[in-house]
Amino acid sequence: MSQTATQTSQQAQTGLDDEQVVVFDVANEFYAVNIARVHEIIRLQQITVIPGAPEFVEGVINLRGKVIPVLDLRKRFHLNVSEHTRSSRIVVVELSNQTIGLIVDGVSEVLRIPADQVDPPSPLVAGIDSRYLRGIAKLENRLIVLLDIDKVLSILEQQQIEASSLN
Amino acid sequence: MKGKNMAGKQLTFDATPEELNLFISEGEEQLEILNQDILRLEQEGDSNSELLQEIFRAAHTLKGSSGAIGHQRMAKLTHSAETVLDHVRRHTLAVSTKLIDLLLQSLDVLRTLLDEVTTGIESEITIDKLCDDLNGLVIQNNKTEPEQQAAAPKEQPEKSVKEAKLTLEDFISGSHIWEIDCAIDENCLMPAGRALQAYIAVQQFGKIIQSSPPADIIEFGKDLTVKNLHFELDLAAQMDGIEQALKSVLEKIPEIKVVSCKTAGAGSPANNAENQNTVSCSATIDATCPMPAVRALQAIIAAGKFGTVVSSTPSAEDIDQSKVTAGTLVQMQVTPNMPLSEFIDSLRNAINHIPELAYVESAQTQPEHTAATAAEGKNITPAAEKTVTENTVKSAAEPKNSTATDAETQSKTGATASHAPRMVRIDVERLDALMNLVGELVIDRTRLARIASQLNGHTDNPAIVEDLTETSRRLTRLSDDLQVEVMRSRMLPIESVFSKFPRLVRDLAQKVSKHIDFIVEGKDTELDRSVAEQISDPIIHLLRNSIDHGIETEEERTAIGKNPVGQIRLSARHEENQIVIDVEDDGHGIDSEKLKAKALSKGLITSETASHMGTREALELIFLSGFSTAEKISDISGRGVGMDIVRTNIEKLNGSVTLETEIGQGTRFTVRLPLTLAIIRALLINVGSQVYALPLNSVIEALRIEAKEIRSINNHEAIELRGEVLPLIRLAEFFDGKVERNTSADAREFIVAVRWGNRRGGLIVDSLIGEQEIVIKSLGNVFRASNGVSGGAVLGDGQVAPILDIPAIIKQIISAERDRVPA
Repeated sequence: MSQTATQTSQQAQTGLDDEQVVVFDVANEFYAVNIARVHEIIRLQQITVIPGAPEFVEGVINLRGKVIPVLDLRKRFHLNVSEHTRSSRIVVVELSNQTIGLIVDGVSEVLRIPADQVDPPSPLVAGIDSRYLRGIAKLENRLIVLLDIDKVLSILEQQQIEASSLN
Repeated sequence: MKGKNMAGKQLTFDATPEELNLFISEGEEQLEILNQDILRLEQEGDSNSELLQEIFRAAHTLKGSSGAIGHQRMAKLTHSAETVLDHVRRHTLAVSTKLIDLLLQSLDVLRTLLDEVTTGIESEITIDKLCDDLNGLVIQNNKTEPEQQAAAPKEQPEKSVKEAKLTLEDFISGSHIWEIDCAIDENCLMPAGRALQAYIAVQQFGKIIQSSPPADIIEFGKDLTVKNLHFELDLAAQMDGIEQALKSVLEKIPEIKVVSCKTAGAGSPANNAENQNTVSCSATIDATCPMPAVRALQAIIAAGKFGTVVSSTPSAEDIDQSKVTAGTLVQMQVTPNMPLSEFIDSLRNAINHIPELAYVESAQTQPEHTAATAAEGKNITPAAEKTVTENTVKSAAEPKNSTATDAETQSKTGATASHAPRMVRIDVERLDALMNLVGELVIDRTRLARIASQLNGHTDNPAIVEDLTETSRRLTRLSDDLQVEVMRSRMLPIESVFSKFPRLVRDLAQKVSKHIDFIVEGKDTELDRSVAEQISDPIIHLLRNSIDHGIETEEERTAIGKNPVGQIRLSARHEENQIVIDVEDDGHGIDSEKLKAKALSKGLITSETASHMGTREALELIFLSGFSTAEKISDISGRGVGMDIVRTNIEKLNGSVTLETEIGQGTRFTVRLPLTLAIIRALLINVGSQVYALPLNSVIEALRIEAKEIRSINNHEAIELRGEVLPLIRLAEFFDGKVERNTSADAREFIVAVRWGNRRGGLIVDSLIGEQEIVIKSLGNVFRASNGVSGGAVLGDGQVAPILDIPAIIKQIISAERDRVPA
């Protein structure tokens, strides 16, 4: 970890088109969201289940008087679902028209990722639906998946409309 | 003026933002009065002279104020309408459908023009055709006039003379002619516009006897190339400094230059008046009045109706330059043209009718006094306030001139002034924000109450807990009061919604050639602004439906011995925490068998379902989407989407719509809505590990019964509740599909009986928690497809509880019931 930190700070000095991201892990993979989109990171709190909601929508929470939906990224990415742990967090992100929470296994750090180290997404990497990906950052010792956070929900909504029209 | 009709053009007005706001709200008021009164005029004819006066006054006020802010098109159209109204008032023009139609059309256009003031952008609407039509009414009526005009083109066109007469007719003192010459700047792009402005400016002072170019050319904005204007003005009132006033008003218009302004002979202005007995009378302008100058002018015009205004303080000049401050005393020297007591009564009445004006005093004065005041007026300096103060002091220091009546009047005025509601305009967004804050406060106070009860018995210092409980109780009371007050400040009388309906009904009825007597009741019923905004469309649908489908044609009605005039009654009232709106017609009612047949032929139901349908269910068919009973699609009521949308929209507001009908007698639709959309009372229940909220307005009662009381009717659970069968649904199964029933013989079940419209159903829940005020929060798009949940509520402990969508659940019960009915 300390290695990464040094490395990052070096890159920060050199890179011009750096992107600052919040890195979190889901099922032992690293994912990142642009820091500008992250509203806050909160501890897991009691989630109210809304009957009839899509399976990957865990429910809603009360964020200081505002009711926001919470999605479990493990479920969203069709990964193995495990119990939430003490390190589980809710990353609250701002989408264009609403605020949502993403349940992640843990938030590791804030990184600067130089633009030249980001590759376009490949369906083979990470094993999740490549539609949600914006790119993959190749840092020295690991790969970080950059999420296209708007798509995480918009694709969801699309699916939902399809589902409701089937009913 | 051609260029003025370009769409999207930015408009600027000759007024401050406050004045514009006042103009807008007063304009809306006047339009509202006109709308209602013109409909009354149509019904009552021109026999009601009071009504005619009221209409005329409203039109006149509108014209005056639109002219004052420089909204030319608005002023022009109101002028045409006013001319027509004047003829009606004088019984020289009969009330006809065409006349009413044109006037109503004018109101529509005026509303658009008024909106321009709000938006600041010129709309695409044109008024020329309408003005021509309106003028046409008058000309048609009085065929001789055009000839006269043709024969003597130099003469003032008829309408302008009339205009001048009616504005100031009683207000004219002797003949005193002024000749004014103005020049329009060579480079002026819109000489016609400037000429009109000059015309209007000069007109304020009196009757324009002659103008060159002629008034109609100026007024109708024909291409004007002349750069020189000549007006002959018959002064309305003799006021000192008239020359100055005229000049300054005209010079204020850009690109206009006054060449000369002189009197054309006749006696000196003050002579006639000074020899008569003059009365000094005053009116105070409310200290909060945003447009004191306008009020001052109104006061003088009012006085001019009952006599000749010899002089005034502030002077016409000051008024014109808006050198009048709120709170000012307007003093006038008037020679009454009627007996003194009558004059005082009339004037008091007239002035007290003008908003923000209060009549103060009327004392017969000595000629010397008049002269003194007049002399004072002559020397008026820009510091007009000083003069006013002096005058005020003087009148106060002359108690001997006051009569007993004055004392009475004064105390009376004092009373009226203190009773006048003090209003503050508040941005709606601010009220919404306030409401949200109250919502948050309600959540927190509930949370506090919870903490207090949790602490109770768990601490070794019960005094503190008691203190906390007491405080929390006080907070509850305070926040309740606060909530009520905020709610109240957002409340509007439903009249704001209803007021546009008489016109709508009239127009629609005319379109289908039916005669309809439209009755509106309970206009004062108040409801939340957010609800008011949303109910208009559903009610329009219902009214359209009644007019189009409900009421029979005149022939049909006569044939079956009904009053040929149909009746539609729209009423509103409060019932508990709901507002109830009825739309009732005395038409032919709805035949449930016909509905069934229709639904069947449209393939909306199967013949099997139809055969099992009761009357009540069949009537519900009208709310199915794609259903329309009209034989032919008319452009009035829709293509079978109307009733469907009505129900959907009303349910979105947590309301309901039901109907009762009797064949041959009529139909009544009843709409029930909560008073507010933000905070509701709810019954909290438990299902599984989760809390759910049930809107209390759909809960009939909660009961605890023994499990064995539940019967299975056609394989469907139900209980008998006071003689009626209540179909049941297990919420746990409804949501999760899990079956985990307690089968022991003495098991008990909690049932919440709910209703939606006429339908009832019972929800089997795990336990009841209690009632609470909840703040409704939207769940957003993610849960759009979630069946059975309409929103989320933040509870006292900060948890979110889903709010159950009772209509959806009852529909589910109904369809389940239907499915299980054996064929």
